[in-house]
Amino acid sequence: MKYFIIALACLVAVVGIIIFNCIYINGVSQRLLSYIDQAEQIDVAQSSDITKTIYDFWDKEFGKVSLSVRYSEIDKVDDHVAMLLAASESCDADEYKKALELLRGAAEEIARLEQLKFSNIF
Amino acid sequence: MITIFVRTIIIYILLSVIMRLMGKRQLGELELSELVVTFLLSEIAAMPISNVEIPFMFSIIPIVTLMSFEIILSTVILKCPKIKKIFTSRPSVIISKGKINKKEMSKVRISIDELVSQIRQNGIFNLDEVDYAILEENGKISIIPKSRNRPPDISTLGIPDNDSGVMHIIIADGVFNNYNLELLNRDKTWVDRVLARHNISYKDVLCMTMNDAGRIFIAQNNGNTICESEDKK
Repeated sequence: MKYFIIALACLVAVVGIIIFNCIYINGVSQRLLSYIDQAEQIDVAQSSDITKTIYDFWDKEFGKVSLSVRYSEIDKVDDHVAMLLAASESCDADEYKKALELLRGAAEEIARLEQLKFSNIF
Repeated sequence: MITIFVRTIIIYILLSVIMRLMGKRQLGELELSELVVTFLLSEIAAMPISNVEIPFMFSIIPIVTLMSFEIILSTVILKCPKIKKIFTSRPSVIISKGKINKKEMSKVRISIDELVSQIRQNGIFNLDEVDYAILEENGKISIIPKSRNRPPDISTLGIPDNDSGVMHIIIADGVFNNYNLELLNRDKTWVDRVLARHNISYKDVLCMTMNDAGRIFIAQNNGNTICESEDKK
C-alpha cells in the first residue's frame, strides 16, 4: 500500500507539473506575441526600445522555457530575436518585418506544442 | 560532454530508484505489461543521454508516469479480481494428463516443434513422460512429468527427513549481517565464540553461514573452509 501511495503521489505531481508547465509556456508565448504586436505598430526607426524589451524578455525566460521545450524550437526563437535586433539596429524595414513574422510563427509554434490537440498527439 | 555525463548519472540513479519502487515483480517480468514497461523505460532513459537537444524533462516525465501507472495498476489488479481478467492472461494448459490440447496450442500459437523444444529444455526427452505442460503468464512453459518419471524424493525412498531449512549469511566480506543474526536468535558474542574456537578473527572471514539445522560453514580469505554443526558449542 505504501508504494501505491507513492505512485499515486508521483502521478499527481507529474500531472501538476504538466499543467503548470502548460500554463507557464502559454503565458510566455502570449507575452512574446503581445510584444510582437506592439513592435509591428512601430516604425523600424523607433523600434530600438521594443526590440530591446523583446530581447531582454526572451533572455530572462529562455532558461526556464528550455526545461520543457525542444531545443530546435528555442533555437528558432533565438535566431529570430537576433535577426530582429540586427534589423532594428540597421533600420532595415523589410528585414524588421520579416523577423517579426518569423518570430511570431516561432512563438505560436511553442504555444501550439504545449496544447492538448489531436494533431499534437498523432 | 559534461551534460551527457551528468544526465547519465541522474538517469542511472532515477532508474535504480524506479526499479526499486516497482519491486521484484518488475525484475521478474511476471506480466506482459511489465515486460512492455521495461522495454519502454530503457528506450526513454537512453533518449536524453544520446541526444542533448532533448530537454531532460522529456525523459523524466514519461519514466515517472510509467512507474506510477504500473504500480497503481498492479495494486488495483491485486485488490479487484474482476479487473485482473481484463489486464492479465491466464495460464494455458497445453498438455493435460498426457494429452496434447491442439485447440489450446492454436490459441496461443505454439507449434509442436516449439513445444517439444521447451520440453527438452526442461530435461525431458520423451513426450510420453509429460503429464502437464502449462504456458505461464510470463511466456515460460512449466512441465510436470508423470509420477513414474519423476525423480524419487526422500519420502518415497523411506529416508528420514532431515530438514536443513534455509542458509543464512552471517558474515559476508568481513561485514556482519545483523538481520540474519536476529533471525537465527544469535548475536555477535556467539559469532566471536565460534570463530575463537578456530582461532579466526571476523576480519579473516570471507563468508560465514548457518542453516536452520545449525550447520555452520566458514570460508576464510586465505581459501580455507570450516564446516561444523552447532552441537559442538
